[in-house]
Amino acid sequence: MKISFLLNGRQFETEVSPTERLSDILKSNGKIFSVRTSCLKGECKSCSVIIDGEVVPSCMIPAFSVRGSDITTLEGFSKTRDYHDIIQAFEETGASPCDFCRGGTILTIQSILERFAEPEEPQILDAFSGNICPCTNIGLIMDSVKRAALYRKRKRLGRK
Amino acid sequence: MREQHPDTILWSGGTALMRMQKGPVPSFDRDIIHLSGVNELKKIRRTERYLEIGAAVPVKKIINVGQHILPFALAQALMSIGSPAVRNLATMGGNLGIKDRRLNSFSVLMLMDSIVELRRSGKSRWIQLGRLNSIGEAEILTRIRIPFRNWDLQYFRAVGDPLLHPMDSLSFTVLAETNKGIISNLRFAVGNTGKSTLRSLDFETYLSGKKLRLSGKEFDAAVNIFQSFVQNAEGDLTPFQKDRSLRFVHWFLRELRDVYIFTE
Repeated sequence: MKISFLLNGRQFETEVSPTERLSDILKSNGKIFSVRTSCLKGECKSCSVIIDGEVVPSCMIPAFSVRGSDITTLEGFSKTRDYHDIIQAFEETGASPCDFCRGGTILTIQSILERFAEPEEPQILDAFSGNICPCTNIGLIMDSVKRAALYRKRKRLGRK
Repeated sequence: MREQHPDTILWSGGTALMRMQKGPVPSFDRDIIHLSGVNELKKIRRTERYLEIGAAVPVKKIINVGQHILPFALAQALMSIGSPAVRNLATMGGNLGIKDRRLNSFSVLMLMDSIVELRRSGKSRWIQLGRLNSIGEAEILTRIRIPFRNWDLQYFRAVGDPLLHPMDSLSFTVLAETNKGIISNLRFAVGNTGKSTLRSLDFETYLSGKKLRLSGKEFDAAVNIFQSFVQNAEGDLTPFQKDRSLRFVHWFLRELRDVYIFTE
């Protein structure tokens, strides 16, 4: 069947079979390489994408069900200003997520920052619960989230 | 629509199905009607007497929208479902409707006397959640209605993943009302054990009417009643589940004996 949806701000039309997962068609048809599949249970976050504003594991979504949705992957998000706040925070705190979990980590941080202007530790820990990649200390991730929130706050107030 | 296309499959979120499936999604040789776009299934409604949740409302939305009105034990049960990203997808209808499994929210909702609406072409019926054994192929679970009651004591604990490892998971739920420090209407269930949810009426009856805090003697008697209940539940519980349920009961009774302080 043919479906169309917004992929990183552009209309994307593709042929899918009812047995395909969203993660599969993003990789094969959409040439999206930040989406990786590993656990296929929605636990590892390496296949995370933002669908209609919510971070979700794309391995758990049948491709046919996203017709008409707005999907943002790391490729699309990396072209926004918000992305650079997070990367700058990573650089300053020394957090460096590996290629496996990088996409999920960045999109999860973005979802936290959209919900909380000044995120606190329980909120960050809750959002990251279930992230099983051991590459980066959660303490560094927490520092990065708080720092990125600070940059956003400064931007809102018009300070550098 | 279903009447016009009787051979179609009704498909909702499918989160549980996808979690249980390694590799490709199961192949369908029939057309699919995708229900997630039906607005009626995505509504949350509150009246003075009950909270009504559409079957396709994501768990995260229920937790967020209802954090001031959701009963504490139910909020805990919903928080124990999957990871935050999975909670963006999973729905309460999916949590209740999966075949041969009773998942995290089932025992809490059952103890709260919740009812569910099952709808088929031109007909609908409301049934007690406890009587929901399976949903017919032509039926869909559309709404869950949770009556408001003043549960003073609410406990929920869960271990394991009831969907993927039902033999190694367990939930423990207690709801009770209190009146001047006396427990009344205590309800208790051991869930997440696969197909069944276990209730011990002896345990409930023994604790109902007891004054808080519990005495040491009452603590021991309640433990004994629960132990004999667990021993008689041969076949329903694995050794791991028996051990954990005993630990949960010890913890709960210790709360009533040592921690709970009645203030009014």
